[in-house]
Amino acid sequence: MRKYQLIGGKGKLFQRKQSIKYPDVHLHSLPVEILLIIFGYFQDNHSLIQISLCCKKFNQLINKYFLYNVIVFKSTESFYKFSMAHLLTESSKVNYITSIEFLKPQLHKSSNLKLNIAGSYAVESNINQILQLSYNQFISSLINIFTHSFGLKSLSFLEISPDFAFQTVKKNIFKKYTIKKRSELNRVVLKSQSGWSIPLKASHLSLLSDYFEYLNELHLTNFIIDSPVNLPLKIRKIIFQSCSYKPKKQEFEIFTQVFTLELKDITNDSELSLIDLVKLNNPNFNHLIIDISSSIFYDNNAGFKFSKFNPFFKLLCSSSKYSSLKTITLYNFDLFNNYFSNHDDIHSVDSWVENLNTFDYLIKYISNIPKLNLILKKQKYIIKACAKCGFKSVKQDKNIENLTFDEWEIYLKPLNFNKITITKYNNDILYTNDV
Amino acid sequence: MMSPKVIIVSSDSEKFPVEQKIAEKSILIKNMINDLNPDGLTEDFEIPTPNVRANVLSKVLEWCEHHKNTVFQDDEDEDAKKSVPVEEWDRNFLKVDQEMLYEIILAANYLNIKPLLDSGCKMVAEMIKSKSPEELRKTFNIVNDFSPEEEAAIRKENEWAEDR
Repeated sequence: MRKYQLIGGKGKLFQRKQSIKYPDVHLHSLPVEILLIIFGYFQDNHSLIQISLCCKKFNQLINKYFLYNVIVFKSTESFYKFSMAHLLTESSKVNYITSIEFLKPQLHKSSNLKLNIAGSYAVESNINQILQLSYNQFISSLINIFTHSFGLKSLSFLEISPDFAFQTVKKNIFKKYTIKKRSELNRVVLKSQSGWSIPLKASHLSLLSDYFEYLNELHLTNFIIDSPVNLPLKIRKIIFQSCSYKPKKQEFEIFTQVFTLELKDITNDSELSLIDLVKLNNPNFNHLIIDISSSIFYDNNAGFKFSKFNPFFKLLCSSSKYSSLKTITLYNFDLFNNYFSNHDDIHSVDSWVENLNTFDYLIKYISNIPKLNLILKKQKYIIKACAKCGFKSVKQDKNIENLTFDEWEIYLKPLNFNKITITKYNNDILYTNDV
Repeated sequence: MMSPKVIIVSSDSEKFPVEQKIAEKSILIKNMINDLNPDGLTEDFEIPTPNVRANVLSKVLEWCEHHKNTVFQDDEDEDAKKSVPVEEWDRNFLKVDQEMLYEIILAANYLNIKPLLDSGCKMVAEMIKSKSPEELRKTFNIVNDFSPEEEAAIRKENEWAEDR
């Protein structure tokens, strides 16, 4: 107590300049929640800065909730300026950061680090004399963010070139042991420069693994998964978007803790094999999420390739090989469209030869999984209210999102499925028989 | 028999009897009616709004009346909604002095009338748009509480954000 009394003196330290009194009904007096709605209409930094220069209160709000909350660095130059103003010195602003996005993050300039992907690439990655940090400063600025911005949840490196990597900065060997890792980072996104697929390397993630124990979500876009990445980094959910895989029976240490695997914009069969890679020596893996509107599932003319993927889903959902898999989520699901529009067939078919390559069988196979979620594609279409199915009013055809629970039951009845949950694209539950 | 009315009472005790449908544009009132009358309204129902003055309340109810049959999209796509300009009728309706506009916004916030709150806030945002800090202070009667040094420091520390 005595200590504080000494510092406090006569309370002069805490005396502030007289603040200006505003009337109750005044822009400055509006509640914060309303000011945030108003300021929220401004997406560009320039307008936000103008408002923040108006008065202290606005400055505080703009900094905390907008300007320093979600940051996008479109150029290495802007990160240079940011770093000079906020990272190489003590700045309270870093505490406001929840999300940072780097577009074309900077590279180590040394030419012998270039990958031999294509000779012409050097033209594009050529760094002119632009204002930017030295590579070591870039890394130490990043480290400063990792260690000081405690609100940081999401980190994205977009449009990264094939040369991008975290080169280990020379450091004291003993220092490594003194780094106190933060427990987790919510989300990391790595996306390659458009037009390029980049082999995933340990050096893409090494810096993160030095500072974080867990990544709740890692999202990789346009990567080739071919050589093992072994880092002491635990990933809970991994999203592969338009990735490919060169199968080798090698364990990837970073994938052995993955609970949830999501495959998005699948363009080739090898991406599906990533399921096997993630499953390898991984007792935790239990949830698979697939973007079912991926081009791989469709034929240009014939629609969904039931003949190819019914056996695939059958294997996935009933084979003991995948028994650890407890939940499958298929999103962007719009196969009901097909089912409902060819609906009259169901009542008229007299099938002597059973065709296994149909929607009915797909549903039958996938519903073998203990928990199946179908998330409908955000696209409204009308379905037929068919009297033969048991609909009472057949006059109006209904929007699929407006079907009631009972109507879903009627519709799904002929399908002969097990457990199923159908949700709208925004996760509102439309139907479930899983209680 | 006439259907029962909802009687909204302003802070200065003025009574505004309105149709239930109009009053229910306010989610606050709608929930109140449903919670207290689970079987539907059987008689007139009085609701006090202790922080809304009569002239503001009459404006707000005018808006509710006009939008009686408007179905507002419960749009989850916030970003898309931000770029949509204020609808013509609302724009004319909200051409009032600043104090009135803020009072309408505050009332819409309190009564939970989201589309009116959005329109009101958008109107203020439009008044802010493309103004310099000095013009903003003048328009909104705000006192500059920065010293010239502080102002320069803010410009400097935000330089990184000006790059496009």
